[in-house]
Amino acid sequence: MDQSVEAVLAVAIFFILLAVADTVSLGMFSSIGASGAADADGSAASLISSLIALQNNVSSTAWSNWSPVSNASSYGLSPNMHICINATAFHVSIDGDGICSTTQLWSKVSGTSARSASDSWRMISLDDGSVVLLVVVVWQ
Amino acid sequence: MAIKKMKVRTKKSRGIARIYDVLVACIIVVLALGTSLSYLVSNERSAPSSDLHELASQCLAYMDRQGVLAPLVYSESPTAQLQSLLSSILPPNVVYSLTIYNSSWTPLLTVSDGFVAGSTASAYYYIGGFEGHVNPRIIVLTLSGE
Repeated sequence: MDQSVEAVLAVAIFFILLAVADTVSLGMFSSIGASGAADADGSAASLISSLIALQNNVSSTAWSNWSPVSNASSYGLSPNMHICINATAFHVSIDGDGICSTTQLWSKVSGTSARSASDSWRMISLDDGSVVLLVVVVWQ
Repeated sequence: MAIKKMKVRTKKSRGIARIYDVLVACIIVVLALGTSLSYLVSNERSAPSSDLHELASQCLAYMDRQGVLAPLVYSESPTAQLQSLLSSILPPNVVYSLTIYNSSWTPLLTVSDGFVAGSTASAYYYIGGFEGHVNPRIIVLTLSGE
């Protein structure tokens, strides 16, 4: 084989294999990075739901008077984060015949969740026997 | 003549050897990338959701506090009521599987709502008996976020 042709062939083989290996590794790194970003969103959602739960505690009056705020800067988060807060209070009871019933007391929503995002769920039992289901969704 | 033949052979061998060199270099690069990527992927495990565990735990505790859990667990056919209750309490994008066991961990009843294994978390609740009769039941509620 002519040495110049052989050298070109060798370099071509090397760069083709290197490009394939780089493309595969880049794809895997980006997927790992995306899952890391989703974890960060989940942590932010968990932080917000914890703050709200701490703020209102188990007081039914505090939860009734509370208004959800979906502004990211209110929680010290980056302004490009989007937040949706959905809280629902209900009461579960059972009658003498063993029939359960669920009564929704109120529902409060702030922000819209328009795409796949990270959620945080909390269920808080209140002092009047009702329970609040708090769902916080965060995405970037 | 013999020297000429040797020179030709050496020239040919050197030409092929370059391709071999490149292939060996490529194998080294691919092995290095493969090793580092497999290490990264193996370390990236999906952690169980603590929110889902808390939600399952709070849900069972609230049902018991309201006096709803025990009558349902010991009733003859609680499937429809449990499904209705859990569907109304839990968020719409959370699916559940609730299993009632006796004290020897024999499953007595399972109620689920399109449950799929994924990011799941479980909580269990123990009830010693009902209406003065000792008859232990263990309730395991497993939640999965869609």
